[in-house]
Amino acid sequence: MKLKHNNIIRSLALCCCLFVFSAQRVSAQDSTNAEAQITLTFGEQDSVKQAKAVVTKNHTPLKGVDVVFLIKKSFGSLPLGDAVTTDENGEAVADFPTDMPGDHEGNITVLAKVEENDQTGELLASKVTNWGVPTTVKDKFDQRTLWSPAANAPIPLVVTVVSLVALVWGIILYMLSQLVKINRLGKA
Amino acid sequence: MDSNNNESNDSRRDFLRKGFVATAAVATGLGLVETACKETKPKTGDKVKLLSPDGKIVEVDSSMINPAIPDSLLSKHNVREGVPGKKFVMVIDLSRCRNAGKCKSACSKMHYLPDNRSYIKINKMQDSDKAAPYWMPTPCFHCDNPPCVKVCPVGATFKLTDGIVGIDNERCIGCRFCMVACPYSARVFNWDTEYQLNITQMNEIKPHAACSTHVSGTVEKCDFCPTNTAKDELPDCVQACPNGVFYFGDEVEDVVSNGDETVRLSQLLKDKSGYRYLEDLGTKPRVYYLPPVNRQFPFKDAEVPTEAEGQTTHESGH
Amino acid sequence: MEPVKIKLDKSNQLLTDLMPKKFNASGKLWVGVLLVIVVIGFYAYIRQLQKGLVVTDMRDFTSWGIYISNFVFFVAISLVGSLVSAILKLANVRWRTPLVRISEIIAVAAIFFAAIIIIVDMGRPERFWHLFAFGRLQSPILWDVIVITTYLVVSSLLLYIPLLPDIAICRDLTPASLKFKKWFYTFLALNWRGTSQQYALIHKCINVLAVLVVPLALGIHTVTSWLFATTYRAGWDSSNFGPYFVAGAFQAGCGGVIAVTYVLRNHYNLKKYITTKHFDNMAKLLVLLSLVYLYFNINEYLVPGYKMKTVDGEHLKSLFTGHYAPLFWSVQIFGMVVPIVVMLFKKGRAPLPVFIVSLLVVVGAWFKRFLIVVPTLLHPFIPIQNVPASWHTYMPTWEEWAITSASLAGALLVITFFVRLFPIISIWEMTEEQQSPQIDEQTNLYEAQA
Ligand code: SF4
Ligand code: SF4
Repeated sequence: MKLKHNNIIRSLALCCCLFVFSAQRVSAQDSTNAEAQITLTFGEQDSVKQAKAVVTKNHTPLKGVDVVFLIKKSFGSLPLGDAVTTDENGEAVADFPTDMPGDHEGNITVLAKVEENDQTGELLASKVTNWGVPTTVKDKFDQRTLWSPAANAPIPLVVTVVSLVALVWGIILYMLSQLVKINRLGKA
Repeated sequence: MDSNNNESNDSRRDFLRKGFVATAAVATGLGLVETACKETKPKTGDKVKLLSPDGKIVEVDSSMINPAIPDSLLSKHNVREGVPGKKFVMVIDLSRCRNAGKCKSACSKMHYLPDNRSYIKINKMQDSDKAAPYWMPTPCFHCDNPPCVKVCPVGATFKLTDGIVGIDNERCIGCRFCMVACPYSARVFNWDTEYQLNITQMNEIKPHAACSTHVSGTVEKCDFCPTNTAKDELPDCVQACPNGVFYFGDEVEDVVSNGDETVRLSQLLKDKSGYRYLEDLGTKPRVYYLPPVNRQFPFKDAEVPTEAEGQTTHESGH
Repeated sequence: MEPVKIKLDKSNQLLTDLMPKKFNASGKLWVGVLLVIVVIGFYAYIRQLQKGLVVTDMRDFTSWGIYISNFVFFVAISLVGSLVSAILKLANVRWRTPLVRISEIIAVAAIFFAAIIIIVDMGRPERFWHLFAFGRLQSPILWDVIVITTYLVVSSLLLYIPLLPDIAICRDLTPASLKFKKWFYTFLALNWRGTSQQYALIHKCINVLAVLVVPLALGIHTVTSWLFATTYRAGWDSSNFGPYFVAGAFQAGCGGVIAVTYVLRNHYNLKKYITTKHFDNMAKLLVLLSLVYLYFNINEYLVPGYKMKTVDGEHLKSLFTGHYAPLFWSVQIFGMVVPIVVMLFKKGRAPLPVFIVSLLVVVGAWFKRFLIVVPTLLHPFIPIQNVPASWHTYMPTWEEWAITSASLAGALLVITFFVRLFPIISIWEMTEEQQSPQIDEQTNLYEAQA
């Protein structure tokens, strides 16, 4: 038990180290481009869901910056169409697909990203929305199929095999009992 | 039922424990671990060999390998448990394959396979005499109606919740029924005792914490790299392919990625007429193919003449 | 019914003729040769245990080889037990009596070695118990395990129960000085006294078992065929496989029993009991069974051959004109056509020709099983490529031949020792038959006795 505690403490310590380490890196990056910022908001226009990114520098909107909208997924980020260039308000808007699967509550992490450039450096904003289609994993795993584990064999199969085995072995046992009887008859 | 194998489970867990920390140690940078452990553990002087992510063998002091890891983390490597909430799929774009063989070599390296054994086969196919031949890489298709799983008498091969068809080499009796039942020749057998690895060896060279130890007399095959996918990393073949032939992803998310590109699965299959090999068998593979149209490379036969020997080609059946 | 009275003295000719006899010189030689083959096979198997299945020529594509085809052969041969002791009995064929025990011991020996050879084929034989601990009812292998075990038990009972009165004779005729022998027979004879109650019981048992063994026999071979037919492979993917295998099994088994009968008849001079008429009848039966099997063969090869589906076509081409053509046509011609033609003639149904033809049938049946298992595996859907050249073909290694031969020799040894220990023709049933008043002219095949 004590050992386990030690380990947990140690892992915690390790995590802290990592955290400090990464926090330092982030702030270092920020300082070079302290003025440029990207913010991500979600809105709806004519019942089309849209993700909106605003790029500013020293609190004034920046025009002509390419913003890529992405959706974070397990093995990479899915781009929402091509890059969008910011208008005079510093805004870039992307339509959000209606059929994008989210997690089981429909949550989706959206990223707005500006690739490394002279004006802004690399910018990244991320935000969670519940616009996704909630997904439930449909499993056949509790079903009885031919490929299921032994415990989930189809009932008709189990019934057939068990009854056949019971029948035949019942007869075999009966035969053995007859042998016992023959033996007894001989003794008398 | 699964707990019947207590003894082997324990030893497996033990080495996984070590393997897990080893991977973690390499991944987070050895220096950091060393700092973290310095005060708590004296150096033993024993050196342990580890494989770093870029394929180099590094030697570290065994004191850096922490043998105790919370069991909750280890449960990930249970051969009978899939990654929760996922349904893995693969899409193989035949128009991009030029038989570079990198998928195969990466796979064999990561699974520590001998030369004459391979989980991925790169087959020369020709749909008809007049059609141009093309290369078709075939891993295990992790079928949803898997004939191999159906026929296994002891449940040594089974379907995991994440769609993967797994194998328990401690359970397999080596009857090879699954091999003849698989219509895609995806399975390979450990015919000899030579390549079987023991726990110590696995600790030293183990690239893949969940990979088979090549238990003699048992069957094995492509496993979709469960150690990678549990960490949201692509399987080794996908990462290794220089031409982006393999897309891999989660069917639930409807997204697949080949490392460079990330696309919607449904869109990709729709746009490029994706199909599954021998669909009419009803095995429901989890691996899709994109037809070899608009090829990126002209077909060149394999350079090694011995390999081409005795090759026959026939319709691929799509 | 009056119990059979068997006179236990020299005046009973049946006893002199039918009681088990010591091996003579040729018998000893025969046993010696078989033992040597078994020992070599053991040595080969030990090598296989040490080095793994790599000592065989099976590889990832030909993952089943002659072990499995030999297994199918054994299962096929074992069907004869049910044919002679059950089907002919139920059909009321009276001349079968002297052949019953021969076919039943063949059945037991064959099915026993079928079980052994399947363990030999396993990559991890020491994990055999997994089948019972973790068995999945969905797998045809499990069905096969169940039905083969059951068939082994039922066949053994069908051999043992009718043997009781004869064991008792052996017990009573064994002098007390041979202690072990006396004990052995006494133990097995289950206090048999030959009372009418006891006879009633064994008659009842035999009748029940004879009915029971027929579906079981069909079952073992049908389930065995499903090991192949439940896959997608070219040449196996057939809904016809069950009856095809059963028909082949009856043919092979019939050939087997004729061959063994001929040898025993000549060696132990049983011409009085196993007459030329028996060979004539068995030959007719074999012709019938061969014709049925021929029919299934035509069906099994003609239909896919007509369509020539891609992979099926390649598989068939390798059989008809390719690598396996010589073997394929030899098996079809010598194992089926020639026997039918020869035995259609009266002269062809004399003991010696029938014996030779039966040997052809049995050898043909063995290779037929090879042709069912191996060529299919060499024609998977995705053509074999990028593997060492030797993986494209399959030629069994000496270890495989040695182990397979040992299993065949083992089966013959079991039969041989059985003949050494027990009367191979049922004395009490022969007595019963001779005493029975209902035998009419036609069924009375036995020449008048002195
Ligand atoms: S490809 Fe073969 S081994 Fe893989 S799941 Fe399908 S049938 Fe099984
Ligand atoms: S070889 Fe192993 S995994 Fe395959 S069917 Fe037999 S026991 Fe199952």
